[in-house]
Amino acid sequence: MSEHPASAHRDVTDYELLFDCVHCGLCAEACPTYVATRSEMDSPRGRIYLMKALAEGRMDLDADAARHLDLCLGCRGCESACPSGVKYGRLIEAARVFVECEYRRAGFDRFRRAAVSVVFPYPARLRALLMPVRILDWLGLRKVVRTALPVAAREWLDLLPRHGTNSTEANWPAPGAIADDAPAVIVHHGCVAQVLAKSENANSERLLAAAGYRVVKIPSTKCCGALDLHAGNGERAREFARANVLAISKLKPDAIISAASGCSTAIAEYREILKDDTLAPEAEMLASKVKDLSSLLLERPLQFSARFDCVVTYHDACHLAHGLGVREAPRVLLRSVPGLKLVEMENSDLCCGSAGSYNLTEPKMARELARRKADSIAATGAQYVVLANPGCEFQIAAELRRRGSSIRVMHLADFFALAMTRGAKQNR
Amino acid sequence: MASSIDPKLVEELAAIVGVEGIVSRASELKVYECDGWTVEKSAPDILLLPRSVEQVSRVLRALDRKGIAFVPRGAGTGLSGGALPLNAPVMICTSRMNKILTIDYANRRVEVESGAVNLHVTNAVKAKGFFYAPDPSSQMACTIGGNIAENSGGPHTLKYGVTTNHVLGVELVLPDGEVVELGGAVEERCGYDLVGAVVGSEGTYGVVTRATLRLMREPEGHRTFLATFPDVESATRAVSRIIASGIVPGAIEMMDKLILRAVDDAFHVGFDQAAGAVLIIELDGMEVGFAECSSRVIEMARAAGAKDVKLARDEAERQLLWKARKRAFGAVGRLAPNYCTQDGVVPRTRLPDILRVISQVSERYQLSIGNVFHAGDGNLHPIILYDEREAGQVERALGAGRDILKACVEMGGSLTGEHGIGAEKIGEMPLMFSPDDLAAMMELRHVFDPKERANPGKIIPRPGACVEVAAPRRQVPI
Amino acid sequence: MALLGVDRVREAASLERRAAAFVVEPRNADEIAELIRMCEAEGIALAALGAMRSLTQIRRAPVALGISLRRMNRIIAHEPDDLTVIAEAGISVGALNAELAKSRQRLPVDPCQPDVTTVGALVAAAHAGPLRFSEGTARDLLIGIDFVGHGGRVIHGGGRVVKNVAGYDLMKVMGGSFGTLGIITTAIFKVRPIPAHYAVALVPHKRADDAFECAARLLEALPLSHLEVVSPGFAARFGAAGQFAVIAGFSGNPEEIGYQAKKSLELASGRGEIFNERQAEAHYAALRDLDFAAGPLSARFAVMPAELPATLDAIAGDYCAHAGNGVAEVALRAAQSLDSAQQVVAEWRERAHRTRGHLRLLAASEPIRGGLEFFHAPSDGALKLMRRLKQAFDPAGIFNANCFVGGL
Repeated sequence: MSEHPASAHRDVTDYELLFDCVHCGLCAEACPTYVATRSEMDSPRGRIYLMKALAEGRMDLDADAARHLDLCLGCRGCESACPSGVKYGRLIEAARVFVECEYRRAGFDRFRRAAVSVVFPYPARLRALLMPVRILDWLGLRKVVRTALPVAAREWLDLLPRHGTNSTEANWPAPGAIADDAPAVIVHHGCVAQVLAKSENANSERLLAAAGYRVVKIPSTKCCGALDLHAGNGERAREFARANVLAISKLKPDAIISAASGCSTAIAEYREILKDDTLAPEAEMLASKVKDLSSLLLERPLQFSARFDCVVTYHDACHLAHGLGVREAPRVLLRSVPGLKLVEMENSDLCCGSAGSYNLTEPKMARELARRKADSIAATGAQYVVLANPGCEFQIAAELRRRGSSIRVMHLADFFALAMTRGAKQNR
Repeated sequence: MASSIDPKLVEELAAIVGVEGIVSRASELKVYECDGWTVEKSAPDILLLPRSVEQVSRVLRALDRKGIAFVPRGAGTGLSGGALPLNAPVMICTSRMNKILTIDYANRRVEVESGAVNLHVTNAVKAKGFFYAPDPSSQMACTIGGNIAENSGGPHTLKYGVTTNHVLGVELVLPDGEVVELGGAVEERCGYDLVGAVVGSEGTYGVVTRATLRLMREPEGHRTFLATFPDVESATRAVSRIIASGIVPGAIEMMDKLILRAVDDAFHVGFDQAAGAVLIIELDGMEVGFAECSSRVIEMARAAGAKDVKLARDEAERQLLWKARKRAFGAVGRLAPNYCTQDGVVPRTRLPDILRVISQVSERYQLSIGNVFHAGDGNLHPIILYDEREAGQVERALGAGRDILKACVEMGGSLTGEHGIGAEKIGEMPLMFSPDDLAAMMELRHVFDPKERANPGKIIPRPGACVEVAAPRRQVPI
Repeated sequence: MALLGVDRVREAASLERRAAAFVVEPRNADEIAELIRMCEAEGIALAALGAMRSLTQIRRAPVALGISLRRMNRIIAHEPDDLTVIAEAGISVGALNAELAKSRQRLPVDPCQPDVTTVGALVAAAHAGPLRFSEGTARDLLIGIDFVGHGGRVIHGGGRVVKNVAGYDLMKVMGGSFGTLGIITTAIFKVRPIPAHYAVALVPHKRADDAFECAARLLEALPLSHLEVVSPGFAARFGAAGQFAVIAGFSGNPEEIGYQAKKSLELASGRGEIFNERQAEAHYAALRDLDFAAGPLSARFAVMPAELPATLDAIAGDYCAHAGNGVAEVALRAAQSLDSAQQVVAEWRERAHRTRGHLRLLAASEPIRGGLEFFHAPSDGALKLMRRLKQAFDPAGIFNANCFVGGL
């Protein structure tokens, strides 16, 4: 067999894109799983090598290969590091479709993945499923019940935020009049987020209104498709994308944001996902409107009426930093709060292990990464960790709770809501 | 499974490094079949990921008993096939020995495990105003152990020297498993300078597991200029003038037209696309001295023909320039599916001559060749673009590389300034060294590795059988 | 003696007699090769003489055949634009630098008395002076080497370009090998531009601790060329009799000099004095030429830089400490009996060990020299490798035998 066939034998991924990788290895230290395992099979370069070998039929999709591909967080940290512009996100997403089609997982792993896929994109189902937990929390019994659960379930349970823990009881001043020609912004409420990250969504909208944006609401929000995209369910991802494009594009927003940066990135990718679809022009338009909360708030600065003396560290959510390339805006915004001291943590842009539903499907690696993240955070001496993605928020909060840390984990929207309303209270 | 290793030995090795520390499945080993030099590929039968010097020592003892050869590997970012297993069934990767052990600011020393990442050393000390000077372009991933093996350089070696100038002591595990401490933390050595011998030995003396490095004080400030030239000749002229003037810049780097295009696509620096070449010139030192030096540098660049000389306005702009420069190799991935890069050196005054040769070679072999290099040192990095899927292109790329190296040596230069000989250039060694020179080097090797079990088939060609042997070994069709 | 047939072999003249019985002055590497082959066949020990300063110290007895390289003293090539120079090993550092100075360049390695120190000795005996702090030593600047090894093979390592990793680093192997591995014939160096301006800050202190503290402050704040603390016995030469003198050199353009002068006076709390140009050069030369080999017993400490004050605390002897490098030369003034010299050396060694370093004797007077160990023994593992190296490069055991570490 020739070492380098002219073309792929199997449709593993976008074969031509594999050739962007020149095997320089600069990505390794930007990859959380490599940093944790320090073996190259779990590095971007290694995974690309596997994809290539699979595509060229030099290797079969066995348990090892599937394992190394599964272990990828899809955080795209490697894309930030890659000088060759390898489109790793697209490569791994396509490869996941291949793995889902070609590989039969072991029983429990299959169940876990199926459960995520059946429940998460549908808020009603998730709400129903979480009802018992809510009741336990009301009764104050979560701790008691937790001890009776098997380890896997316990870890899932730990990730759930306690009801109301992070929502600031916003004491918002009535928003001023908003000009008719103010830019229109849609906050995409997501699927899991609209159940578990209500305050993040609500506060995003309040902050935008306070900054003078016209907040446009959509009647009901469908999953953006990111979960499916990352889990290798390409077909349903396209369906969700179509539904969103149809629902949103007619509202002609000037900007669309999401409290979950993974959703923003997914919407920004609609132009790729739907490029052969009849909705391609609308998808393109929508994708081009994707923004992030901090950048919008920088354009129309907020007024803080009081100092907020505190030490804050900022965690870069993967899809915000590596997907949308937003790193500076949140930091600039934080520094604009009078009295606030921003201390950088080590490896702030290394994934915390949340990665969509990764912490549910790959709990071991997710925990390891959460531990590392918590160590970096603790070393800063900060009182608050601010971040812009609910997934990271739950993941990091769970880890800090486990170690009994008093550091508060807050979504950027919640944190700024707190900063604004504190001032309002004190000024009265 | 092509393992040629006795299963009993595999068990023994697994017992030493633990099941997590051994990889023996062919599908996983494939990933380790080459480093940053991808022309030749050969996977090890077994990969070991030890976590301590004790483990390395026990592993090497076990291998020594069976007479099995091994190849050490750091991050696999090398560009000369130094970590390519050639008749070495076992690969020992130091990636899990990556701790920074002690930082001693008062004495400006840092002690690290050999798998520590180069940039992490600087990151660990920069808050206190220190840095580790050798800064190879792969510094965000490459390991100190790999740097020691290759005696790595980087843009700032013009002023600060290469790895060997910054390594004071190493802990080396000899191929028979014995652990020896060479050098130490102080400046003077007792007896022969064995540390100096180990640095640059490309893993052929054993496995370095720990090193004591010198830290440098960050200079008070930097002035980084981007000078744009109509062609490479005028740019090299500027380099000569600046060097001759007595100013020692921290770095002078050149990028030619082809590289500029790739780099600008990747990093949006805003290079003048009509430019024939640019120089990145960095001065470092005391703030008070910059005014005079800067104006002289600008003046000399202009006099040499620069169309434009711009000063990086802030640290962000400076970092962008360096990012563009340091990741230029990778950015070339945007131009062609494969590249190989040469690392020849010429006396600085011969830069215009060698660049002419390179463009002739490019025409002769019908391959695009870009140039991005350490102009201040005369250290070239012609990047030869090819597509391994096209018949004959690999062969042509290798031929072009050889021609360029031959010209470098003929001009009084060297085959390699910082990438090492490795497997790649072993056939060219006789261009530079006589049989007697090579015999002396082999004697030196035998001091550390009498049975030639550490990274066999590297650096020194077997007498009388250099180029001829190299060809059939290659697995890719050439 | 069979060698008497060779041209230019003669009996050692007066001074040379301490180093060698016979002396030969070859004109090129081929002649050396011929000599080596004959010596190997006859089992005759030989050594390059240099200025015979190190050789006469470390050898218990004169070597049979001394090789004087005084006829091999040419500069083969100096390429100012490349900042490189190729020189034969017999040229003195001073003569080499005189030539380089015509292009405003220098080999910035400054052994004591550069006019008598040959380039071969500079490399082989690893001489260095104050400038080691900013410019490194010969180790850092040597980019290529030719030497004649066993079997009369002429070996060349490195090259004439400033950056080169082709092949093993033979320059490091030969550097500091004290002539025990072969005869160095040619050295290729990186050279550096001579700084436009140079000045010296001199700060006297009554107490050693204060002097070292002052040095530490200067080290922290300024990019110095060199930094020394000189004990009272030597300080008189710098006009600071009876005191510990901090001597800091700095270079650069006028703005940089001005800034560093001002800053160093500030850091010296106003006690210091600045010397410029001619006076600065004179102080520098005096510092460089402090001759430690002249006294009855002298040694070089190499320890962790921050621990130099502890190493030298109340030490019996005068010293010049290179504060930024952790290196210090120490000399005893009074003549010693062998017993007391051994005690002093043992005490010095103990000091060096305490501060994580070691000690090498530089010189001892004739009657006691034979009873002292000049080199510090490396670790067992390292010594084993060194023995193998000596065996590999000198199988006949003729190159300056039995006087290096571990009796190599």
